[in-house]
Amino acid sequence: MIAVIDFREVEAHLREVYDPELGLNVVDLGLIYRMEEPEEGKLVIEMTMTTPGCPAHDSLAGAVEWAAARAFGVAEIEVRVVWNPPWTPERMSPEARRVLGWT
Amino acid sequence: MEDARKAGWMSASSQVPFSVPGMSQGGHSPPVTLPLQYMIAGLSCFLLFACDLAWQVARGVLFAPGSPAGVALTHLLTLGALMSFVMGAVYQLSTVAFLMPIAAVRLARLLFYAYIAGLAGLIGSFSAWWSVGIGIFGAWTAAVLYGFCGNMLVSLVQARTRGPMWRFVFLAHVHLALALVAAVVLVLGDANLWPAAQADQAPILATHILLAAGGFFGFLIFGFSYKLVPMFTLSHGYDTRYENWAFWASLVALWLFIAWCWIPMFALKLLSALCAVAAFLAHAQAVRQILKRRIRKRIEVPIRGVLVALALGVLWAIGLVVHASSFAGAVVWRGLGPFALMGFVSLTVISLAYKIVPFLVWTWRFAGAKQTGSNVLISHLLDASSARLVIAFNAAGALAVATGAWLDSGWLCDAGAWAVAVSLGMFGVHMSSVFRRAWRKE
Repeated sequence: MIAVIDFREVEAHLREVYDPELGLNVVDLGLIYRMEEPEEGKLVIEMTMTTPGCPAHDSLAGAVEWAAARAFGVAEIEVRVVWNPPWTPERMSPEARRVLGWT
Repeated sequence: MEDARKAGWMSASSQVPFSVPGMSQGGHSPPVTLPLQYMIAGLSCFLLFACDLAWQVARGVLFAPGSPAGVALTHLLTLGALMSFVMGAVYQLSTVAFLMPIAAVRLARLLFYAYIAGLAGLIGSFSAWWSVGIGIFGAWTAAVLYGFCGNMLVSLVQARTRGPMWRFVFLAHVHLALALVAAVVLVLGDANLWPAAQADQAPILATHILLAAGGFFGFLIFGFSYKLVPMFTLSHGYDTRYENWAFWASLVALWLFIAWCWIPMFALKLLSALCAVAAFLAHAQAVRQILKRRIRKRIEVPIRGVLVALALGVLWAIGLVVHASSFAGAVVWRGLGPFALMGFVSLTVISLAYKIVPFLVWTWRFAGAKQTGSNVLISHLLDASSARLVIAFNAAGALAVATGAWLDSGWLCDAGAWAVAVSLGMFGVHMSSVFRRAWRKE
């Protein structure tokens, strides 16, 4: 299999997806757990939400799918929302922590 | 490079040893237009209430005991503004809080139109004190609310998580159903169809008010606070034991108080008042635990509004103790009803509206807008800090009305009512601006 997806490019696109309530992007919030390319052109993204039953669940997962699809070589996307391990504030980037006043 | 690509990408800020796909924990919510239509009706009724309140103060007829205009005004607030808004919020929040779907979404939609028609007829009948109309539209509105209760109770029994929050919300709907029974008995008594109920309406009326205001609105506010406050402050891993204490204390307080309405024993009244204080303090402690573990360090103005409302609730419960322990309690009692409704209940609903309404409008108009490349955030729709003046006026107004009733001071009551009317006017302007921005979708 030839890997064609550049995860750094996908990550850059995902940085354009914002949590509408917090105003922070999903990468800095630590909501994206991992990305894989199990088959050529197929992108699997595992992500979570800040809280189970997050009201923005559907719109956020949809936005991640749309943003990732803009990366070169992505032919198929599967966004999996996972709850284990749960999201914790330690997953946030220093910039996100600063914005939320959490250190 | 090739190997690195095959290995995949992992969040740099976290170690994720394994992840387990969970059941879909979104996707239970009904279409966003369902809660929104109820909320728009509620917001409109808040504005009508503000206008009617100001009009009654200007005419000098406010708080005339048992006046048709006063009864109509009270129901415009309770059934119109609060109930409509709360029904919308319940349809949305229950699915989020308990990860369950609404049993009958289509029924919920149909009930909306029936509710608005019944409500308009009932408020009109109250204003004119038209007994036949009160009977017909009262029965109609009660039937719709029974439909709402049934829909929610059937939905709630499907919930997998059943903590204190679930117990509060479940019992709130049971109390609403019981409050409606009391209302039906009152109407039957008023229409001479049930002589026994006509003889002494005071305990039935008190039971109706306690079940609706305390048992439904109070329980819902307590219950949903344990979802909304952590959600909006990003709080995790907090101590939940006080939630149980708040539940049992409030349940005992409510039913002791109802018992006192029928068996006027001093001990029952005092004990119920003390339990009410314990319930509010336990609830305050539960909220404090949530806030202690919050990640968003800056507490937003709407959440501060919830805290102010909670403080008013504690004051209300203390007022109840004063009423229970004093033998000139009737004066205190007169101020407690409006204080609970305009203070704790309305202020909590208004404050949370500053978070809930923009979110729903965002979901409705902008959630799919990523595809167009625009990144509209909820804060673009409404600056939540604009709630500051609304909360201040509302709290001051509710306090002034209660104190005015207590001191038998007409001008203080009028000033308080004006402050509440002004705050609701500003609230209406803020909420309408959210919808205006949504229509001007960029």
